Amino acid sequence: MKTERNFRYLRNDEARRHFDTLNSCYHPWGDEGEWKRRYTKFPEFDFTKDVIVAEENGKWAGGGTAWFREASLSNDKKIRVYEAGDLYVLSDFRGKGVYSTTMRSLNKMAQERGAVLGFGFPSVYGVAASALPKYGFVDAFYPVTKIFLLKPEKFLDYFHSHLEDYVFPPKYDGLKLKIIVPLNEKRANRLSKMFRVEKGRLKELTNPREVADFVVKADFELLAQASSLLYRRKKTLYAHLILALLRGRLSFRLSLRFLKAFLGF
Amino acid sequence: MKLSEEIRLRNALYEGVFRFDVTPSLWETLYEFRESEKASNLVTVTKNGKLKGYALYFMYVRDRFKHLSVLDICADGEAALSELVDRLKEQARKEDADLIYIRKAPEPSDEVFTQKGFFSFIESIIMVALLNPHELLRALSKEIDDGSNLQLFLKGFDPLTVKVGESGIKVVTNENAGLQLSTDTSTFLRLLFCRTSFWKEFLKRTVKISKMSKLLEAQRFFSVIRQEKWHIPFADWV
Repeated sequence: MKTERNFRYLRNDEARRHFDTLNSCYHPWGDEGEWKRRYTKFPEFDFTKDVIVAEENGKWAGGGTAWFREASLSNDKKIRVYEAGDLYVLSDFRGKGVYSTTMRSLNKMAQERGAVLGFGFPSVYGVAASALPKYGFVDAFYPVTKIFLLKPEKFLDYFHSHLEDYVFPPKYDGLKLKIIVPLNEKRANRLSKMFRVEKGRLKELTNPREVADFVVKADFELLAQASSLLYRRKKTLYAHLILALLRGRLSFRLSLRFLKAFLGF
Repeated sequence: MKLSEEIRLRNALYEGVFRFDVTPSLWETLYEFRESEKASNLVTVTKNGKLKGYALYFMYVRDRFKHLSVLDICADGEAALSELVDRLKEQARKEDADLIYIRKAPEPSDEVFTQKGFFSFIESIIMVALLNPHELLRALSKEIDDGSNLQLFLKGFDPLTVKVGESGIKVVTNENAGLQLSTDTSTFLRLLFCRTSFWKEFLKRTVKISKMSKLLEAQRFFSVIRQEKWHIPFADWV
């Protein structure tokens, strides 16, 4: 059967369905407060003009939203811009190009309504950051995230919970790994955690004084920066790590046992 | 429309900076969102009865962490910023938060955050698409007397002619151009928002010109239109 895809604006009586669809696609998208902030209370927002629905053979397949704003340029003159967001594709229609055509339709609709620039705010860890350039989006600004940790030990537990999902090759079974996180410049305070690899999984050890086969020492900033560079596939990651090694912000120690396992002897 | 003291301060501090405009109703919806359970809180710093800085934040729990997330932070000078950061730390302790979370444009005053124990990294990007170069350049135009005409060819758009003077540009119609400049929208946007330099793109041949003798004119065009600084706080992200 030939696939027919068309776009239409959301109808007034479908607003609630749009909210429920967003929540089912984003698991969850947001609560009533978020709904009011971005939709029902957003000044001059119009469901019947700013939200598009993609249909495939007459069935609701996906959609997206445009929020219009004014922006001031460096000479303080104003231009109309739009923010693209809440793009979704229902599970039965994924992988068929619905996202692409929705994004293109949003750009076209915004252009027709006087938008000079379009904006998107993706995370470096998500797929949108690598998908948006296909629709003309360029990485124009890099906001800096600043974090102040009031409970650093909880943050280390969080890192640990993410590491729990990782499966190590069998050759590492029995090896003990330790992570040390200095908490200030003087490194007087530090947090540490020790693990043993058991059947490919990391199991936390209660005695952090045991001798470890692999010890890595890095502060939270370095861990966060390295993971960001890794996600952004930046070649500067290696330079960053080498610089951190030279500056003493990163250090590691390996045992002969670890080295043998690593090299496969 | 009466502007609040906070919006007036924001407009004064970020005059000449690329930013989204905030009207009182947008402020109420995006910055304060009073009707939400997550209504934000305002922290201010004043000196002799005059507002010197503000920060808006809200509390939420994600990934088991209680965040104090800052929607916007504006301060007139490092002293005001330092006081604001101290007040945010105090609030975070009162609220039993696990962390304070701020996303902002990099600025010279950011040293304050480092001194106060914050660490920084990149985890989000603001991406921009060009939809109407003609209107963009028209908005960047000003009255200029002298200058020479440049015809801009941007892939995907109709060519347009711009008069390039010493201090500005002006979009013109029905005038001949002595120089043709062609590039793609991605390079154009990167040059507009200072993500790259004209010389680098010229050497890469992503910017091409018809006359080498007018190379400096082409370079001046991009240096006049560029948007060096920006302020798009988290409150403006949808």
